[in-house]
Amino acid sequence: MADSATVAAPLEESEADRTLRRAARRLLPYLRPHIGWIALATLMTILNSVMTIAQMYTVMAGIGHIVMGDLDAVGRTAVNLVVLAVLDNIIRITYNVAMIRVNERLTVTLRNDLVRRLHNVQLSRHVSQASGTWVTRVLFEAERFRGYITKTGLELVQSSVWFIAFAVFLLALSPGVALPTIVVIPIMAIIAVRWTRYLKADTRRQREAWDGVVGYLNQRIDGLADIRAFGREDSVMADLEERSAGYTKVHNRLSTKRLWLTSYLGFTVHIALALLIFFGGLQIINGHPLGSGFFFDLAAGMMPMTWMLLGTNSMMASMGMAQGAALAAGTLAAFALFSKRMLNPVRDVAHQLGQASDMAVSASRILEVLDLDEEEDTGDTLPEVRGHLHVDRVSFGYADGVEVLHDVTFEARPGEHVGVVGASGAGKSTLMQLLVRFYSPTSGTIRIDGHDVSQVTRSSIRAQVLLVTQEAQLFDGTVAENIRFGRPDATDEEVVEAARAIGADEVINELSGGYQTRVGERGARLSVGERQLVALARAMVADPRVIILDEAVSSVDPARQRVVLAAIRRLLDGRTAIVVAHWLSLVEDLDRVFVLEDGRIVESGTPVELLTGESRLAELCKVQTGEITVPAGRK
Amino acid sequence: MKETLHALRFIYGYPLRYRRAMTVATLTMLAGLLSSIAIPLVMRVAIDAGVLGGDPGLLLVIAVGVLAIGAVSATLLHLGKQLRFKVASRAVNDLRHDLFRNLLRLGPADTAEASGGRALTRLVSDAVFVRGLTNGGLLELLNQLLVTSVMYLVAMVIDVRTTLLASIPLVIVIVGHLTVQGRLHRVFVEVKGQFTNLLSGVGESLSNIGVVKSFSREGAASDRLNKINEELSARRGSMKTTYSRWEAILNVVGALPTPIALWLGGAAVVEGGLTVGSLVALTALIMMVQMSMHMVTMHANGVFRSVVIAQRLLRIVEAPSVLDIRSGTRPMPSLTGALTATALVVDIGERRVLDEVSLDVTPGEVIAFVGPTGSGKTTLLHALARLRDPQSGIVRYDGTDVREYDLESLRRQVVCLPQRQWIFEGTLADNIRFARPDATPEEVAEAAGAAGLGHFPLERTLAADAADLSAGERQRVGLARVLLVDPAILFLDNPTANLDAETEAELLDTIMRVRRGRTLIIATQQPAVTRHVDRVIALNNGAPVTPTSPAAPVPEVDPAAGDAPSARPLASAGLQEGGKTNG
Repeated sequence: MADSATVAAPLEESEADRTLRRAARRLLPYLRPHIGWIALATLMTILNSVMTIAQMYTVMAGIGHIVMGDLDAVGRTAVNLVVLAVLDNIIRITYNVAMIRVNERLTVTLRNDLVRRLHNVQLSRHVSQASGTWVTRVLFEAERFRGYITKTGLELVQSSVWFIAFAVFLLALSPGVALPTIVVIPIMAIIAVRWTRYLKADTRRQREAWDGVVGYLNQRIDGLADIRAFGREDSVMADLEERSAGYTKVHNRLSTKRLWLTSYLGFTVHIALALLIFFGGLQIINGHPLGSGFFFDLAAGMMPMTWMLLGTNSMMASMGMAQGAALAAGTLAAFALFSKRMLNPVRDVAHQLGQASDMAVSASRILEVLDLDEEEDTGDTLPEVRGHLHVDRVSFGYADGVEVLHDVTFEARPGEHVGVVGASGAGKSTLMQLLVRFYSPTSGTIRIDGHDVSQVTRSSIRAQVLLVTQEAQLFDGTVAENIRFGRPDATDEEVVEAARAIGADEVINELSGGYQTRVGERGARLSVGERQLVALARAMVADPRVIILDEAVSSVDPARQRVVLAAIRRLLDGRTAIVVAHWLSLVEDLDRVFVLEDGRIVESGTPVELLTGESRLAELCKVQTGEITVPAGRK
Repeated sequence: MKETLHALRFIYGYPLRYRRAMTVATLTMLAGLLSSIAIPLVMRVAIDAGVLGGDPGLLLVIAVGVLAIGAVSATLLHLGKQLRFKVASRAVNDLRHDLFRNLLRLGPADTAEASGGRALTRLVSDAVFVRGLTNGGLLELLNQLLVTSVMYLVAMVIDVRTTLLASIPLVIVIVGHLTVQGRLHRVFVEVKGQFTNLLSGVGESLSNIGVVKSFSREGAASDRLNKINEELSARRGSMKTTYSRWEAILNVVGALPTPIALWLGGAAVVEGGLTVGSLVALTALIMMVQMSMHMVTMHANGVFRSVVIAQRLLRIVEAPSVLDIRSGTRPMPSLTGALTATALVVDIGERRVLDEVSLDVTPGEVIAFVGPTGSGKTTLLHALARLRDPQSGIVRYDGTDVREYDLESLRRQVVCLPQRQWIFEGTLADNIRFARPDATPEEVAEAAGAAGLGHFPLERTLAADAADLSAGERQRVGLARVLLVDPAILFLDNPTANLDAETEAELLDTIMRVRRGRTLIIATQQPAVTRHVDRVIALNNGAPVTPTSPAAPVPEVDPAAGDAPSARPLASAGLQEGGKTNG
């Protein structure tokens, strides 16, 4: 069994790069409105590097003062360290606030755009993709991708800034000590980056295996009832365990490889420290105090703020041998104390770079949604109509090219009720969807009061022509809110009035909370019949000129059928109506009926004409009432 | 508090299944962490004896020593983590499998946790949380606390007074962090809840897209979700901001030990009580303690959150099973199809769905259960097919209590087809074979043909939501599955709901044709179905079944007509035999 509902096709190496480039072009504009905050965060990153160095330097200077026995200066150093800690945390909180803002805004905009796009695409896109897949993209991929953008992007900047600042500082202290140490860091970075490249394929495989597990679970959860019914629990469990084992293998391999990198980087800190102890110590012993000469002046020039805070300019000027030794000891100490904080950014960058192929998968999934074509809604506004509907030689085929409606022609005069009858698959639902311009006919025209519907906007058609679908789809909220969905500006009185007009008032009042009863997700807390009544009241409050009704009375229990049928009759009263009658009980009410078979109208007439003669309609009625069984051999 | 402990015990039960591996890993990592304490001590010697004492040879030895310590510490940490990773993967799998097994055990109506998106979130993202707990969490918390104590002890040995005074701010930091975490806990739960709202809101809106479009309310529908999204984001943003503000304040307090150590230690050096090297080692240790405390609060934070996640998972794990766990192990002998139910009582939540229902079915009999929505038809089917056990009462096949049989062998002879057939992504043949994986291609083709799917290519791939199957074809997939299993007793739950008249008639025709003498019980709301059965049994809310002699065929019923028999409240006196309702 192949399960890949939520699985995007595995991306090849070069394709991943292409996707990333395309994603950058499409998605970077999302960062633009936040450029100010991003700049602020970046500035804070730079200041944070300066602060770390300032702290190192202060500790270093403090140890120098201690060696020289200057207790007052030691006290000043301690106070300076507190001041630095306060400044450091002000910088951090500024950075955090800026980043929280950017992250949250980015997630919100990306999600909102995905939601909006999904609501505005053509209906057929929803049919071809299970809604669970879309939900995953809106909620999880958006967040994941946002993470990549802000984390990977900003950490690269941060770490580069930090590396430069640190290198300058070390060089300023002493090129002799700095060089071996500085050399270690790029080597470390190069190895880390190469290592993550080597992880790329594993990362991709892990993602695929994971998607396999998720896709499998997603579908099995959907089929819980069937799995139980056929007693297939054990085999499904075995299947899941096999998939999990496959994933675990890939996952463990990848995390072990990643762990090697972490361990290696942890060890590198010790290499750097050993080099510093040896070379630094040797230089001091040989009488070359650290921190003298050109580089120190350079550092002094670059870090006026540190200088100002520390007030150590004078001390630097009068540097002697003893002070030099003291400073050297301080340097070593400071380096030892700050070694972790110095090298962690390099590790983080290496990890982030390893996520590139993951990021490509996320990007391609988001773009798949953002690249969906929205329904264009152009044309004139349909003026107020009387409800004269004219379908003229309409043919239609979906994107796959198979024509499902052939040359359909019929007319409904204002106030007339026309029925469409036919077996499932005859094209009834498609025809209904064409009438409200969910799709446009491949050929032929549909006119309302003489206006070609393909020339007027969708929203203006739907304001006057309403499709009431078979499934009464409700939203989590109160009954009143669901009715008001039909016309958002309806008053409470109008809502009740609409329900009363179709005879649903009594049923609604019997609910525990009356009009304020919460219906639950998708109306789950109401019975099918109650849901249908609410849906009909919703249509009533919308007060359209033309109603396209896909009737589904048959799925309601008999006790409710009468109420629902009465409601339908009242809703249709005085409006033009096209009714898909699954259940033939409504047929007798209609002015005219036509029978659709394989996308063609095969007969039409008044119900009386058809039911009394030798017609397909009469035959269908007899099938339903059990007078005849289905002719053998017919599908 | 009791609930919190319970949740923690549950979630930690998973990594602790691998007690030995976890112990080895934890001890190895502890050794690795402890060895890093040697670095400040080595630095002490390097500065005092090496640099200030002018001994290049010693510096070389120390440099090599640092490398050696680094190698040992990195290796130990590597090995410990590797072991933990493996345990973590297993723990996640165990938990996920347990959750899924529980979902399989639950009736979907019994718990909201089993609903699609929610269940998936639990199985996918919540279960992964155990990974974090195994790698960090409580054990790492203990490790860090241990290491911190050792660091602290070493620092005390170097200079008691300085260490004690420097640690005062640390106490404030720990208390502060715990307080902040406690405060934010509630907000964290709220944010998680809001996310679930967004999740179900998006799912609902997209599956109701037809209505949204019919009313041209695309804008309003997405605005509604965007509002939830904005609220979630604002709440989460403010939670993070609050946290980061507190963190900053606590960080400042947490930074105090270094200047304190430098100042007090510095004074000791000047007074000759401490060497420069010792001071450096002392400062380094206090900074390490400070960092460790940061890790401790981080892990404590993880433990706090794990309680929220664990409590959500427990809702699945602790939902009562609809089946008696003391199921028998006897393989089921070949059934004749006779079935009796005696005084079945089923309560779902507060509601009594079946109240002392009894029933006697002879082999090969065809029965319809009718009644309004909520009258207990489906529940009765489930009880009879042993998809759930009643609170009291007994179901017997051929005179034997069904609970004596092994469940798997039972399902090979008793099948209850749900109302909506599940189609998964795969070929039609895969979908049919699901019912019996060892079926040959010929058997699958035969079943498909008999179920009326002969015109449909067996190797055609179906989409997950089966958009390319009509409602009738979907039901036929279910029938083909049944034929492959060939059970002695078949239950059908509302098989013709949402079908138009002709499709319904054709499907019923197929059902009766493929029945081949099996006992067949159909729960239905469609009058057409009752024309095909031997006996109609009407159910009303929780009312007892009072079977009498097999009834005459039910008269035709037109629910559209106001005075139709079936349009009346069925069985006002509880449950009646079909055919006599209009009497």
